[in-house]
Amino acid sequence: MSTLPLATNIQDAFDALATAMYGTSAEPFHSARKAAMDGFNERGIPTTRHEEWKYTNVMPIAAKTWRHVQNVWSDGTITDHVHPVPGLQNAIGIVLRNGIIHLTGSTIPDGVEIMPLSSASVEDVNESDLHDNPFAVAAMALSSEGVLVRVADNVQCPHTIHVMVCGETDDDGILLTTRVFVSAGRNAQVDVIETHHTLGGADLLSLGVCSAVVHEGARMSYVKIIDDASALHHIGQLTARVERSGTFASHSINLNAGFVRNDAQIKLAGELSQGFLYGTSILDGVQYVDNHTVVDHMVPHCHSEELYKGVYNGASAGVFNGKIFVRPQAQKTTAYQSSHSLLLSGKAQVNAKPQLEIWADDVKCSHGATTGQLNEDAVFYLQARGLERSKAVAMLTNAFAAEVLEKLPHGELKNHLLQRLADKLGAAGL
Amino acid sequence: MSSLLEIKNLHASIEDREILKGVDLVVHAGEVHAIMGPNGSGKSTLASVLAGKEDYTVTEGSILLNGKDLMELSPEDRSHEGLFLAFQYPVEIPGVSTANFLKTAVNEHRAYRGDEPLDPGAFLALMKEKMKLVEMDPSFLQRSLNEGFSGGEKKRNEIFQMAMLEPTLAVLDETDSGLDIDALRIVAGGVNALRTPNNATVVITHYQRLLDYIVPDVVHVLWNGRIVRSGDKSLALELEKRGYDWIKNETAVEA
Ligand SMILES: Nc1ncnc2c1ncn2[C@@H]1O[C@H](COP(=O)(O)OP(=O)(O)OP(=O)(O)O)[C@@H](O)[C@H]1O
Ligand SMILES: [Mg+2]
Repeated sequence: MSTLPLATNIQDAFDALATAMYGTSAEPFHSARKAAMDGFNERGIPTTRHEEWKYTNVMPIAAKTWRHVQNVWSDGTITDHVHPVPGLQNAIGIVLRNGIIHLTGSTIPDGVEIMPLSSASVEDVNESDLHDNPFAVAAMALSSEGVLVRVADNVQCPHTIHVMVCGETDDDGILLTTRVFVSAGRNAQVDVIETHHTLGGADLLSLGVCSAVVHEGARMSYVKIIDDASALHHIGQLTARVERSGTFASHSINLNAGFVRNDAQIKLAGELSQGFLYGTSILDGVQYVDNHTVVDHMVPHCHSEELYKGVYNGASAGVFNGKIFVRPQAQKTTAYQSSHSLLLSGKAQVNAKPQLEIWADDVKCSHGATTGQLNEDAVFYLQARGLERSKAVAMLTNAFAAEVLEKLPHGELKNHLLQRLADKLGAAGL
Repeated sequence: MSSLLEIKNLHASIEDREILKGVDLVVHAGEVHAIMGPNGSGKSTLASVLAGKEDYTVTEGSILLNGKDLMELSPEDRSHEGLFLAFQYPVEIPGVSTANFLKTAVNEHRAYRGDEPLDPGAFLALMKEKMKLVEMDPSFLQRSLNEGFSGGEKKRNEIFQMAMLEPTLAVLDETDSGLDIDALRIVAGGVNALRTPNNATVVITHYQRLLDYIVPDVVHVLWNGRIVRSGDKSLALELEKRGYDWIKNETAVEA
């Protein structure tokens, strides 16, 4: 088989980067990137024969040519390009403009550090732990830049950290790679929101990796919103390690996305730690979202909860693959997972696969996956009380999907997203 | 007296099985009609066909509400035209609060009549007033519609909704079943309070007891998809004593 254009593009981009780095290539950063590059070449671009990519065919993406950019941006300030997200006006904004960092919004409070990766030390960014997703590994190989957020022990970060991943596309279609590190110190607290933005109409391929560390007693939420990016192809991996009594929650919200593959993994590494994984996908047209999740219960007395919901209209499609590992020593684990999909059109499609591997015996685990159409008796009930059919459908669909968004910790942002949901589902004003 | 509801020779089937086999029924403004009949005789089917449930195919006959051909109307427009069906089994709707749903329903009715939507204050006041009618606790308003409601609470909620929508023709399908003795009195009192000379009520029930509270002008027996006997309220008392066999036998002889 000849090499796929995307694999060539990634190798070329890496070589170019290595050349540009001439003289510093012996640095630990670069050797880590080199290891990642080797890792990518080992893994290769997955076909649907690969278990983790069974339903998601990346060949149409891999067959195209992508040009990696790290330092190109058009004129104008960022606010000309990215609409402010309600509820995030007071956030600390980190704009990654085609990979280049730019800070906006609130001043950074004491105890919070935000720095470009180039300024971080190698201990800050432990790259030895390669992610499984080959595209995440490619992002590690290609990202000479990215951002590190560190909240010191006992500091409650008063503002949300808002990471805006912005890609400007031209006729060719560009390849963007992003790295984010977030660390919450002991008993610290931080909320992070990652939003994706595409400017210009051409295709964009954005690969991202986020590594989160939640230290003892700390709390972190990580919300990823893809909402104005129909030209976006995004493959991202989020891995969070949670220490004793820590809590981590992830939300994956997809309201307007071309192609998305999100891997979210939580390692519950300290006793009494908790992990929450939430997802909402509201799709139509030919939009595609694949959510792969892993919760690894490594030690006893941990709790995890997972709820994913999708509404699929038109010829949209979705995948939910949720793994729960309970290791032999992880007694007294509680782990709950559910995924529910609503198909509003005969052409829409969903594949849901729960995978539980439980090696401990004293645990409470459950999973449930449903895929179905709207309850026609409920539609009729609302119609019989005077709601037009379309409004009855909108009201029911909105109620179905809103359940997950209701769990967001941010009041104003939550209301904004609930409004977006209602608008998208035609339930506004109901 | 003008006829509010006029059903003529109504035949309806589901999945090629004929359930209604020629129903005739005329209800005038100001009247209360009771429909009784053995299980499976087609009472709920009649109610569903009136409300416009798509699963049923009307193969023959006609239904007029206030002179309007119901068959031409969508379920929502039947509601807008003044029809209300209190369901035998109200559906649980998670995630939709009773208050929010009713606000939409009331405003849809108002829009149909060309009225502005109610402002939130007026709407809240209206809900409070109507809840009193069926002695419903305001905490139900914020709960998901019917979700986790007890059998009796669901029935009360149906009559509360009826009070909010003020229909001209209410069809109550076994609203009494599942109600305790006090609740039965309260709900029946609510239904009576909503009666005016311009509206009418059809109650579907198995029990004479309800009819002590909601006194019918006419009692009908529906059996095997047809109204086989009609009489005054004494018919209900007779059925309570004798059951349905004698009617079935007499009908069989006539046939
Ligand atoms: N969806 C359906 N598919 C097949 N048969 C149906 C369907 N709905 C109703 N029926 C049948 O139609 C007949 C009449 O049912 P219906 O619910 O109208 O009876 P009912 O008089 O209301 O009975 P009950 O007193 O038990 O409430 C029954 O034999 C029932 O099984
Ligand atoms: Mg019935």
